[in-house]
Amino acid sequence: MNQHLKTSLEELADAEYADAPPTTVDIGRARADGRRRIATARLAPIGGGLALVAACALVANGLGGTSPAERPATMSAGSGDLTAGTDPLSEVASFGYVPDGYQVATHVLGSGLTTVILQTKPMLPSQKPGDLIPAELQLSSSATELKPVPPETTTEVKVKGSPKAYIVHDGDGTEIADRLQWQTASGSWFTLVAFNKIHGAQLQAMLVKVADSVTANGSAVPLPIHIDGVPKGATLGAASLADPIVVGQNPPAARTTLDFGDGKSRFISFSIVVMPVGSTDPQGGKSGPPASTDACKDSKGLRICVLDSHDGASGVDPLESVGGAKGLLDQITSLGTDRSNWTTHVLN
Amino acid sequence: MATPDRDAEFTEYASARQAWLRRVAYLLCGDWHRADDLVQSTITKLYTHWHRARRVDNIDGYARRTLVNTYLAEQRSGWAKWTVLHRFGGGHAADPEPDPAALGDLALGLDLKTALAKLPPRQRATVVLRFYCDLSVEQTAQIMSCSTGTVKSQSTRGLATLRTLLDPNLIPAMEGLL
Repeated sequence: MNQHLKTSLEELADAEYADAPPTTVDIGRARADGRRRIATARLAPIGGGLALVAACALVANGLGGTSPAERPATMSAGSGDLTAGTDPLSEVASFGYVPDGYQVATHVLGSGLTTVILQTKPMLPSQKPGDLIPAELQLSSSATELKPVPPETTTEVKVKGSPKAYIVHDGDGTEIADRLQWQTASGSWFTLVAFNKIHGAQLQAMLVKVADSVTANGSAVPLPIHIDGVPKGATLGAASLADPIVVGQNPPAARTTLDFGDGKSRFISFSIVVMPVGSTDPQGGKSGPPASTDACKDSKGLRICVLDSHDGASGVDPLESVGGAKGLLDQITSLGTDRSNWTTHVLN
Repeated sequence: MATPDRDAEFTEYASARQAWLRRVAYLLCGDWHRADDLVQSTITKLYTHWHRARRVDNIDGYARRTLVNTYLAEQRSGWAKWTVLHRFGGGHAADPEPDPAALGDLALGLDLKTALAKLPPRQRATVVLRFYCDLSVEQTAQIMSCSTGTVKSQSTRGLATLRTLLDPNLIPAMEGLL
């Protein structure tokens, strides 16, 4: 009999849907609002690295900047040890204390933001019954305060050496956990957010304890490739070094990605993805076989792929200037799987 | 190998599942404008958490959970409490039971849409998840962040209310369902 109710509900939904007014749902607005929430709630530009963020302003301004190869002077401004603008990833900070089980797992530059993600072994239930995902701590820094956006509220707290610190509470509390924002002695700001099993006062105490131990660290993160030339018109939009070894994935496979836009649309034109030969991409990937416009090579134990995502709708494909994906692939040098050989001199 | 194009992936998913999310949202709230607002909030949150959502095997489940949580959070707002209180003429604001007197005024054979509107938010969400989305008691409990016992009791109450308002043959007996 429950089938009767199910059928009736389906018939109701279908019948009402047929007479429904045109939808006002705006996916573009969701993306824009979502990016704003990310910027203010969970991530922040690296301290002193606003020039880098501006150059990589995938979110705020579209991919309208110059290529990384053309902006070493601006990228290095105030970025600590960031090596002459040739490495898109930064350590963000050093931690004197993190809760048991957390390790640095991922460095990310994306959506105009840079962050470091610490993870545990899988411990939180995912949507799939019986499956677990890691708990996470995410830390970013910004040159300026990222003001909470209504209906968010704040509670002042004390963080060592900080003139101003507060917990930000999400408006409805259903999706975004409380986060801690604090100003450093140099005037920049940090944002720390956790996705784990604890909430309320216990979560806030943990955030403050971690924050008390944080020391800014703008050191560049070594990556396993060097790129001789970035295609004309290409703008770096996102980069990441994800290291699933710390969260127990098997086989371990540090995954490096660099995503470039075409300077006009907000979509990615091409990506460079690097993983150990034979490893399985832990983040999934394109459905179906590689496109004919993609190109891959194996070198020194690494599989390096240039994935052409240009949809042809937004003007010139930056890869055309270097002979397509294969042309760019020829300009990428593998440094192998031994991290001691990796470089901070990534983009020429 | 992946093309980690967050925007493109999200846009493809949201475009493909928007109609389904609208239907579920409509069954939850009974109004297309509110349904659109719920879906808008849901996909905004989904975008915010896309790096996590894309890692789960069942993105639909993640989106549905976000939608239901958004709906229930909205019901806890002051405006929603006011509406419920005035619709039923009183009751417990957080998760009110319908006023029997008010229900008694309803004609038998009431249409399903109107009957659903008489259910308190959590009962309504339970009925939609169990009997429209075809989820188990355990899956519904996970989405609503409550125990299976609570889901069973909410189902029982929700179905009991619907039976008083609709053709009893339409509403499943409790045995074997809970």
